[in-house]
Amino acid sequence: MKWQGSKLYKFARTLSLVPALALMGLLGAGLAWGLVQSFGYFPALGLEEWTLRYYQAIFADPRLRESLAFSFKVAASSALLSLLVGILLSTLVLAFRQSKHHLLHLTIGIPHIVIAFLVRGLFSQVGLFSRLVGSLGGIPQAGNFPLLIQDPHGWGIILAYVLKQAPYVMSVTYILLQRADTAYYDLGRSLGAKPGQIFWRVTLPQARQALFSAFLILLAFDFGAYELPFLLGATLPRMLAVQSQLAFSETDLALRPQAMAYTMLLALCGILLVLASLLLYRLLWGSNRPISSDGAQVNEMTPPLSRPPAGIGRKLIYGLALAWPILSLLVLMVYAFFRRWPWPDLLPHQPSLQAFAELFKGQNLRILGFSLRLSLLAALLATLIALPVAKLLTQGNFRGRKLLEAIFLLPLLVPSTAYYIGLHVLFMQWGIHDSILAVLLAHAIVILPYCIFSLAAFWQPFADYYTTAGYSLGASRWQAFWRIDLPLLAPGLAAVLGLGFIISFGQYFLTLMVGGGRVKTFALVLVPYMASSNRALAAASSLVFVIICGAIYSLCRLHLGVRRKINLRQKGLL
Amino acid sequence: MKKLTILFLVLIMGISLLFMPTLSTQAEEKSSKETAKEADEESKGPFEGTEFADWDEVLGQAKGTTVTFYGWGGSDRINAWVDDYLTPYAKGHYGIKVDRVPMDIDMILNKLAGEKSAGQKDSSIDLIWINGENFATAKDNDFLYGPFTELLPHYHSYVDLEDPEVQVDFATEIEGFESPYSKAQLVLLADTEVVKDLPTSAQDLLDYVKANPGTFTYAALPDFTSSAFVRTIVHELADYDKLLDADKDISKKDLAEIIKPAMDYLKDLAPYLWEKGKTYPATTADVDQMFMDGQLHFSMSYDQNHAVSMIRNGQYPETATAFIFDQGTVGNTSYVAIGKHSQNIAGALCLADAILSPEMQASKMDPEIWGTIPVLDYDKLEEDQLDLFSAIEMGEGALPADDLLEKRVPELPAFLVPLIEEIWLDEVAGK
Repeated sequence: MKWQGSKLYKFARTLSLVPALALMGLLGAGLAWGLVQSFGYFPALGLEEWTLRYYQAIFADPRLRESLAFSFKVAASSALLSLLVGILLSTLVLAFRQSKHHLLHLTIGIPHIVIAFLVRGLFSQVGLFSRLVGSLGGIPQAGNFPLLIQDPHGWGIILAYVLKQAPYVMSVTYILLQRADTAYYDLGRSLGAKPGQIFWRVTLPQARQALFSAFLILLAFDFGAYELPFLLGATLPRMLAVQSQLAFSETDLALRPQAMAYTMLLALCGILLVLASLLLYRLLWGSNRPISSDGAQVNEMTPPLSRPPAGIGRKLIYGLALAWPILSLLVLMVYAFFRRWPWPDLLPHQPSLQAFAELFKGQNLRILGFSLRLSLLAALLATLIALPVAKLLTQGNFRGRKLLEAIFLLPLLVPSTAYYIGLHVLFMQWGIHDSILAVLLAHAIVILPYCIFSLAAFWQPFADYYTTAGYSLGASRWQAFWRIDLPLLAPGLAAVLGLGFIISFGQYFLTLMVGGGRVKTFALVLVPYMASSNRALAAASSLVFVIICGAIYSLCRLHLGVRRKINLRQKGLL
Repeated sequence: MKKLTILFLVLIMGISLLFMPTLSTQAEEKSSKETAKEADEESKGPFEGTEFADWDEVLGQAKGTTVTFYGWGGSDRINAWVDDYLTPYAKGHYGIKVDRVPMDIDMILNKLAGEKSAGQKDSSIDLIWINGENFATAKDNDFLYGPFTELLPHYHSYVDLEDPEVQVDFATEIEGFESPYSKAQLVLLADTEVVKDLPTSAQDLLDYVKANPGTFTYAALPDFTSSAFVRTIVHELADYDKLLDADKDISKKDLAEIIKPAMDYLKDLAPYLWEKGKTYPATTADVDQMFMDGQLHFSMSYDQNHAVSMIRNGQYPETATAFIFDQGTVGNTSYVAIGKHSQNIAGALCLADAILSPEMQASKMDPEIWGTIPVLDYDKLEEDQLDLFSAIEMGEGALPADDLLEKRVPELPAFLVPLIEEIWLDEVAGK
């Protein structure tokens, strides 16, 4: 057809990829700056010679090997467990036909510092579970409660990561399973297989590739993030990410190249880990093609799997899964609304609204309002930029696809400490530093991978299916996009906007560095309070944060997603 | 191959963007060196060599402008004092608007370093809350504007110019590059209902903890407060004077030798700490929360009036109090400095001056508001100004300022601090 081959269309299509590539270029520049610095070149501090000695100093550290091994262990365990628990939860969701599970999706965006606070509130020696045991007379002192977090094996860290990430995996798996081909299910049943067997041996392997991608992202992220290990880990052994971050707080600035070297090592290890896993996958399961007779992608829209009724066991597990967000919110409210809660009391004392009064006085309310708008804008920007790229990724295998995926995965694989200073320097050269624009761009960089890959995964099943029909009926390119693709994409867009908002809303270091402290977001108010002794204030700010995230996410879904979904369902399409 | 080429090109583009500024910085560095030489030659009056003729010109230029005040934002009380007291005062007396920016000092230093490497001549950082090793770094790397303290009227009027803490900060010569802000001292905290006899020495503490294992701990170094606690122990048990005069190139091994008695003490203490010393809480806030929940019998803070504010907001029991050892605890003065490329030097000067006013120092001392020790010399104050200070009631849980100042141990040279933290990690934490 004429429109396909039109040179203008092809040019416009390539041009639409430029904003996304430009953002990644910014990231690359920031990284390059960091890399240069790690080799000792930092003229502003009087360091002008290129040297390897910072790297040498790192490798000479006797604790490095232990740190690397520990980091790998924790990251791999977290990612694997998150995956398994997530898949398990998705089966429950299928069984219960719940739609509320979408709220759990947002746990992936909640800042680590809040997650650490919540985990502490439940699992620490003065946490909720300890109090339950203590008030029943199980243990005489708080100190007798086993140390579930801050243990030398890192189980506290792994627990926190699983609690944060499993719901996300669950959501992703649920969407994938919804689109699975029921033909295999029916075939299996007719051959006498039990639903469980079919799930684990037929249905799930079909989603294998997507699940593996999710695993990779989690692996790289858990390896490179530092807040949770810092807050919930034991003093030693230290994860490499913690070591790297502490090096940045070194007061002797002449050691900055050392801190950069640590970060580069961290980024490199993360990338190597991902490559090694890819190799392992290839060895175990051959090349990346889904099970399909003609080798093409599974494209049809199919009715959902018929679900067997849920037994009491599953109801129990599902209840437990929902308990985590409910209990943590409860603990948060106790800390925020009450003054004292000595162990082992289950009921707190002295209700007071003082924490909220202090939280909302002065300019904090104005900052909150500004922050809401800023994050929404950042999410919108990232989503718009992500659309062309996501579309491209639905077009099947093409030359350079792997490279493109790798480029856009970079913000997830590389810790932000590696590039945010370089980014700030770049913005200074362009004269846009300390401005809202700088913060928007920086946030967009971080949000982009989530947008691109979530949208691509969502779009994949019906990529050209309906639009082709539209074209054959005479629709123009724009009409096809606006009236066919977009409504179908709406639920995916909603989820992506909500997620983007949460991620942007929770950014602290990035906003601080790139915005210079002049662009004040709510996170800039929240994080210092979380680190202070005033627990009530920390809890109050976390509560506000979580409620806002939940509200925005629900609003997005409500407005864009559910309505359309209902319509399509009525028409027998979903 | 094609993919590699693209990747290579992207990398080249990124790196090339970096080399643009280094050419311009060199030219500008030369000219700034020349003006600095000129300033040194003229010593007729404090305003010679600066862009101001006199204090009136500073006031004139500052009026109506906004001054950014960068510093740690983790204490709601300190934030409240800056927002509710300093800001209106500065507006009323100098006509300047204060924009408080909460940012940790290491981020501020990173930002300044980044600005320098970009050849940035217009920084958004005006006044900085800084001290210790961070000041030493900032001064050595030419991030600060100065000397400027001689320009401030209140500095001459009210500050004791002979006080060593005004001349030297953590053993670094100040030379007018930072102006005093407030004094702080490490205190230990306990509930007198639970701990009937407050320990008065390190040995006392050890005895108590041995009798009541699991009731004390301190955050893992390099936490700011527990680092100060370790230095307090070093003062009590090791040759502190030798350390105050330590050579800048002292080796880790020699330092470990000197502080060995302190490390031995901490090693003895470890098995009786929380979790038998196998791990330490990540931050002092965690220690404080365990104290609030009754798990620990002690807490610590570098804010001597921490107990007062926590009792006031109900998170500490009313019988909680601060206490120090008979041999004293470390204390330090914190200061404000001005960013070299600040766009509002006049405003920053005015704000530094405002901070040194008796009204502001007195309001800061009130434990209901913030509660820190003033940096002014009482001998230099008039009757009515002295009344501002004597009118302040010390709240419950506070220690009288005289008591604290008497038992105040000066801080060690900045370069020793990271070394001590490393030695602690090797010898105490790892075991």
